[in-house]
Amino acid sequence: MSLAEAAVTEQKYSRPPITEAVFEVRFESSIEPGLSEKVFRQFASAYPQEETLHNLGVHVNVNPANVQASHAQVQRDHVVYRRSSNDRSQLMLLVPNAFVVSQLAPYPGWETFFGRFQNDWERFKKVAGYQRIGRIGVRYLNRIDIPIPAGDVTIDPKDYLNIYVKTPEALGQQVAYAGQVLHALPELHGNLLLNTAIVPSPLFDHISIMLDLDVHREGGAPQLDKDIFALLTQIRTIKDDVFEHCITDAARSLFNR
Amino acid sequence: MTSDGQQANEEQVPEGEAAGIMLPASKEIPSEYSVMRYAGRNRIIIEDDKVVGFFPQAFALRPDEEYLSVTWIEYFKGAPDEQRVRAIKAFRRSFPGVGKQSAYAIGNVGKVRDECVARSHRVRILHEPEDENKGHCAIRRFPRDDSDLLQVLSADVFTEIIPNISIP
Amino acid sequence: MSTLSPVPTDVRSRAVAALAQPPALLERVISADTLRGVNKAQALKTSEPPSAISTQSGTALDQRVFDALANAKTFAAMVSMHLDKAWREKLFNQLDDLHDLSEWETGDEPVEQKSFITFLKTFIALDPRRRPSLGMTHDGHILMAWVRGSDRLTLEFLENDSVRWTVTMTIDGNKERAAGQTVATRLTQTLAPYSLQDWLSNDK
Repeated sequence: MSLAEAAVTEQKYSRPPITEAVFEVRFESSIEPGLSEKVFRQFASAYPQEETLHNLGVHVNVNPANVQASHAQVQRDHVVYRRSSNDRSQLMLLVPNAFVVSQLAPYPGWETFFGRFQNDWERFKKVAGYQRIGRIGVRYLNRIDIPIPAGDVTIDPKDYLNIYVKTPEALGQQVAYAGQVLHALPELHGNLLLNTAIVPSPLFDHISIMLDLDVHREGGAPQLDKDIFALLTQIRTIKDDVFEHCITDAARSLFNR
Repeated sequence: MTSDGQQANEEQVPEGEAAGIMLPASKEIPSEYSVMRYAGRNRIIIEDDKVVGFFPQAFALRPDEEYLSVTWIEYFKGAPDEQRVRAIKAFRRSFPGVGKQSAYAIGNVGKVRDECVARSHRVRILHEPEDENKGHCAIRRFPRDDSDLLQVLSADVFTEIIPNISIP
Repeated sequence: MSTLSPVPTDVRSRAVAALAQPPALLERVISADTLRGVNKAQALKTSEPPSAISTQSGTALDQRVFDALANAKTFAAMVSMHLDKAWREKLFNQLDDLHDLSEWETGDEPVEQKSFITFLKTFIALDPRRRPSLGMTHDGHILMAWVRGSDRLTLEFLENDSVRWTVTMTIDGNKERAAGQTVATRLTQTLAPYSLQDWLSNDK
């Protein structure tokens, strides 16, 4: 069954495994630094907590013929501006060539999250003006927390996920794994980058598996708001389909406990 | 800063606040008297906005402390209620960082001594007056790592609670 | 085969960390063709999510408090799907109260992240119906207490899933006291003689 043919049902989980949901708009060139700072200040009321990270690059020029003449330069490469809500669950990030809106768990639902992005995008544009968009993407990081049954019992990821790393039987049981897959999405003129890995579990007596879905279009990105929002809505449907294809009913039962 | 916003040492030490009790030469506080321990908000157990007790850690020594600081209640003159108020005000003068949400724990000296000795800690509870708090005492030889002792002090010895906010 | 072997948590954590590292010294030992393939795969590597991008910490108290609270709340967000919404909001309010600078004692440290992680993991595992009181030691360890009259149970959360506990309880008219330290996963067994479930329940 193709993604387009998959039954798109709005699954409403009482405990969705989403740890972070991200909208990212990447520009073809960097925003002028003074303008970034203006944009950053513009979001102060919506995201009162602010942090600024100055990335420094140390460039070492080595002269093999005369090592003594080698020298190092420290350059201020770029500034990352990050703002968050008081409970730290809503983030806004500004890097030189991208505008990012992020939502940590608990996930409030698409309508709320998308609505926030639309408002923030509007606010961004009021100050930054038009910036040519190179890439638009939606990324959902999920963490499936699987309780380990009492006793020396093994967990089989394929009981919960349809994406995992399979190794020959002769190698015995796995301790951990990490995998990455890139799929083309012709209906989107975009790509799906899918990461999965065993991650340290934040819970006792659990094994946690990360399922990171990044759906994006790079090249030919829409420039008008209505097209941007339409693309994101399309991405949402695809992302939901992908997620449902990746999990089993056993996983679904964990999300409704 | 005291709870009413005054700098602790702006208030003068009241004349004649001492009850005038004579101590033995050793300066040890006799068993029949009481001492008061200050606990900041983070070491207080609060339920439904009411102080109901103290965490054992309210009685723990900090790494740079050589003794446990307490204030002798009966150093101060007056009826028991007045003595407590004087003791708290003396403490506030000596400690500029008294938090509004803090509280004071009061316990009997004899019980403190008995519980320490029962755990092989031969403590000395000595009157060591300070400029701003003439009732100040030091519990010397207090152990650093006795969770059981801290627990019994917090739960069964220092059982009288006075929220700081209740004393103007 | 795809089954995961039942190894201890720390063994699995080290394996996960090793998988996250880029291959070292690879360029010296493989062919150019293979290296090109490796570099292509590395290029696919997904960037850090916004929540993982951390900023530099300052040394001034208010900056340290800010950073500590931010880290604690971010970790709480990561497990919020396992927390009751009302409790999560109350927890954040309690955390803010514990870091009220107007109540701050000189020499105190803000919440220690490893202690907070042990606390939250334990809280989720115990799932108390009766909410505890929270406090903090001067070195930033989270404290938790339940009080019933003159009885009380207190927990101090240390790093590495370790918990220091004290209990005072009246049993058959006699006062019993105990104190100890254990790993959080054994708390239920360790405190079984003191009816841990009764402390966590709203019934008594």
